[in-house]
Amino acid sequence: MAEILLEGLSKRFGTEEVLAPLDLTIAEGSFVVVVGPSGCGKTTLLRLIAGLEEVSSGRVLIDGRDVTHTAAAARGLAMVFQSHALYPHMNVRENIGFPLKMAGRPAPEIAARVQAVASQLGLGDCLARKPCQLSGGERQRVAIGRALVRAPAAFLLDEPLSSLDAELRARMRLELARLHRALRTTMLLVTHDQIEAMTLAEQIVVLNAGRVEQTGAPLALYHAPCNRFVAGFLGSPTMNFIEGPEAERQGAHALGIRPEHLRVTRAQGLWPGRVDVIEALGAESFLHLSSGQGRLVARLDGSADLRPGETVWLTPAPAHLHRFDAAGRALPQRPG
Amino acid sequence: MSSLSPLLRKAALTLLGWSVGLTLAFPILWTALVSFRSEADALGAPAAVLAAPFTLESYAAITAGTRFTAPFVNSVLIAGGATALALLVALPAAWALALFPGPRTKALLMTILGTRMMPAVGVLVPVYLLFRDLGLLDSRAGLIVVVMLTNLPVAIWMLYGHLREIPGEIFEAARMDGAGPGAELRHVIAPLAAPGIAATALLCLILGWNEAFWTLNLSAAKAAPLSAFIAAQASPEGLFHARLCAAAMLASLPVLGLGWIGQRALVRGLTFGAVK
Amino acid sequence: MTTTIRPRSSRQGRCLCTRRPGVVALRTVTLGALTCLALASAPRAETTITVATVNNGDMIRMQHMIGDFQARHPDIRVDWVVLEENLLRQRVTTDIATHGGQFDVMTIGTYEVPIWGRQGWLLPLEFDAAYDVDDLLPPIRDGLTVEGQLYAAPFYGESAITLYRRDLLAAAGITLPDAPDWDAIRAAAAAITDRTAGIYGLCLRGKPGWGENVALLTAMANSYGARWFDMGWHPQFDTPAWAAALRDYLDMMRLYGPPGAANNGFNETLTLFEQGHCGIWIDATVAASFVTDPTQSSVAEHVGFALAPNRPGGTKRASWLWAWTLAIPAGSQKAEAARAFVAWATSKEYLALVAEQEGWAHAPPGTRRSLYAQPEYHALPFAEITLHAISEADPVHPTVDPVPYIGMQFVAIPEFQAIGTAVGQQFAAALAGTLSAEEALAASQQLTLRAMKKAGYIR
Repeated sequence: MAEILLEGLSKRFGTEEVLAPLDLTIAEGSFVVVVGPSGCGKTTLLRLIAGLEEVSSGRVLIDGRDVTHTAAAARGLAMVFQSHALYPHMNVRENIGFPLKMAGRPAPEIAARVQAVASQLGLGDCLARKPCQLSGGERQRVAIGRALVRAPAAFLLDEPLSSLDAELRARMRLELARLHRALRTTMLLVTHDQIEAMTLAEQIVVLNAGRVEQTGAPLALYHAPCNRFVAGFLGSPTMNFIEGPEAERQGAHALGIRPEHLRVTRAQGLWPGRVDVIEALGAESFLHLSSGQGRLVARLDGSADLRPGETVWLTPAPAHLHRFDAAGRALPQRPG
Repeated sequence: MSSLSPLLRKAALTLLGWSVGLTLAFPILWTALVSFRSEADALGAPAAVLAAPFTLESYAAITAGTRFTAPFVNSVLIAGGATALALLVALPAAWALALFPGPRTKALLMTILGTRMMPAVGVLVPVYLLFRDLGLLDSRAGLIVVVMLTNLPVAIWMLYGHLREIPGEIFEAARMDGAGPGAELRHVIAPLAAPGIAATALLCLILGWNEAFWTLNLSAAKAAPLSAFIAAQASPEGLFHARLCAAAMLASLPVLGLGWIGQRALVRGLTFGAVK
Repeated sequence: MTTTIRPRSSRQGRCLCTRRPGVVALRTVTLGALTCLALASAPRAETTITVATVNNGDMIRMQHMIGDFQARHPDIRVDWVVLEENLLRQRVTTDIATHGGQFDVMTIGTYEVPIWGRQGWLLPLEFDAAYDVDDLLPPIRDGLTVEGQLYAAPFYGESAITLYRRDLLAAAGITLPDAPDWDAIRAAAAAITDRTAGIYGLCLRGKPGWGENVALLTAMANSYGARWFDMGWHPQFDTPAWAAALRDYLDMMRLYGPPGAANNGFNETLTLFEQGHCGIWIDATVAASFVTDPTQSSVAEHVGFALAPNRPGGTKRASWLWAWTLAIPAGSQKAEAARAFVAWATSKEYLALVAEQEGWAHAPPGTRRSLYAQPEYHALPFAEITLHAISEADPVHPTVDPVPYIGMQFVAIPEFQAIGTAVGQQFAAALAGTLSAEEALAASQQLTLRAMKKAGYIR
């Protein structure tokens, strides 16, 4: 367990700045998720911390120890790769035991710890198998097991779930959350999937084009995004943005309203809109509408008694209306 | 053509395959045949050569005393030593080029290969002088070094290709798992690149075994390998055709055998590791 | 061998031990043992010389005879490097030009000796009276001498003669004179050619190479009154004499020669002759000992010999002079041992040794007068004609018109190897029919002129 401190950390490839100087504290035992679109520099950030990439400027401290120029092998961190990166010539037992072997642990200890980790991850039956004989989920668990086995100072997870199918991903997400609760080891996960970020993180770092847009607890970010990028990136379906006279009337360049904060009524409301598509998921429904404010999405509980082509009225909940200036910065909430 | 039955087509293709194969193998087969004929019979008309009696006299003549064993031992030491040395140098070089590519990697690779395109005779005199001053003329050590250097570009290129095929994350995973460069090379790179290393070693062995320019030009009596043994059988005034064939057969058999064994090992090597 | 204790050293050891008895005995024994050890580990003054040679029969025999040399010189060890002729030439050239010192004795031909001797690459040779240097055949000796200095000792020498099948000629009812002209050769070849029976009237070298077809055609051209260069080093392929020589060569080979003659060098033609496919063959005198050897020749009983042909009324024969010689490179560190070896291998005693062990027919021919004075040797069917051909050869005046060079079937200048081989390719192309005689000569003239200009002979 460790605290990771980044001080003015940056990375340039040639003249291209992949990561602007960044300060970040990853508290001991916390689960931090770095989220952002692909190419935003999040994987680079992870690799800088891991020591797989050389730092252009700044420092990395683990528990106060400066490891900026320490080799990856000596940083005491464990990493789970997007491709799992299992050793194809070793069986599961050897894969999981490899870090211990490298640490020079005695064979009986290795065997015992591999056994413990394997049963913890439900891998007890496939210890003798080679990676090519495993399913995607099993490979994922082996990769985690390999990280787990030597009780690292912190886990670094690089898009660990992106190679899995939707169902498996949801399950593994849960397992990761459980694991963190059980271990209370510092975890830093990088993903482009905002659902992973929302469900797993204690702390989210939103990264865009090499810059940190906002840091904070998931719901804090969800409810009070500091700019239009964060507002749009978190939440699914994404926030509705309205520009033009309606926004100007409210003293903003753009308005933002999440689908669940748009009230839909048959009779009366603020803006009229025509139903284009209805996505009925049972517990909730999403209405895709055309209106004078552009295309909008609204969320309804349960199933809606509406048909495509029908005209309805839409009313935003004032308390949840976000206002943004021309630069995309969030404006303070209007009183009342 | 469509009226041709599939069976007939298959038969025709088989026939074509065999005739191409036999045509390619003919020089070797004929060499083998002639090596079992007496000198007088060896140069007769083809039909006469076929019909002539079998004899081992050429083999007996060329293997008398240490005529064959000395160059054979030299060939084994030179080809084997050069291969081991080439792998020792090429593996780290290929590893660095494959896993840490820089802006000049491509150019460097081309330069490495470019040295192999240079006609060897162009540097014969400088190398000869260097060897003379270092006392390496007619020494196995000198030949090992020079054969190793001629094979190095091929070894680096082949290993580079093989290492490039292994996903880089596996090496990074090893580093994250606490493996230093030595452990990474031993436990991860070497086993994963094993089929590639085997193929490279085999090629280096064959090239080193067949190397004739440097081994002939830098050796005299002590370090001369089989290339010199073969070259010794030709005569401007005298008939030693059968002996020449016997010498060629004796010199090439180990390589043929090696290729045969290596082929199986290679196929096994390729089917095992199956990365991802 | 290298660690044997010499008698002198062991005596010394014994001396030390016996002279001081008593209490010091232990010390002296130790001392003595140490002395013995020290002497034992110091290698005996043994010299190893490296001899580079080709794989010709006479050289192989020399390797078998080495026991005799070893008996006479127990302190000299001989290592052999046997290589194919062209490879050997390239190999020793590299070594000698760089003073590599890898070889102490080299087998080289009469072509190299004057060039290398003049360049200071070879050590001059001097022999004691027992060697009897005046016994060497003068034309051979002259070819190895530069400015009065002998630079190589001949191991065996050869000239060119006409070999023919007496049985075939007799069947055709014709005879060949002892000194035939080209017309006689042509007539005989025409009379005995029987393609359906696989009998070809005339077999000549056709394989490209300065030592192959160019040797024969140069000799033949000499007999036609042609020459390679005039006194100003201008190539002479554009002269009528060359045209006549090449035309006759191509004519005769097309009409009476074996198929695929452009691939036949000495060895291939020898095989053809030994298998009974050739009526007449004009080539090196050493061929005589091969074709009369019943263990390898099916026509050994039927071979007749005549001098190399000339033009009717001509003064020069299509002959040549060649010797495989032993020379010591200037870079050798073991010149004394090398001299001892050269003297042994080219001595009268060596000839007698071979004669004793393998018979006179196998003695290396063409180097010493005394060999031909031996009644047993003189009785051999080819002895007289070989001596005659060699004695008549004159490498200093090889042509009808004067030339600035030495050499009968070659031109003893360093550039000749390259030029000769390129010209040989033109001649072989003409024989194969891909070039006409005129085209081959024109191309030869042009390439030789270019090479000679580049080398600075012509300004």
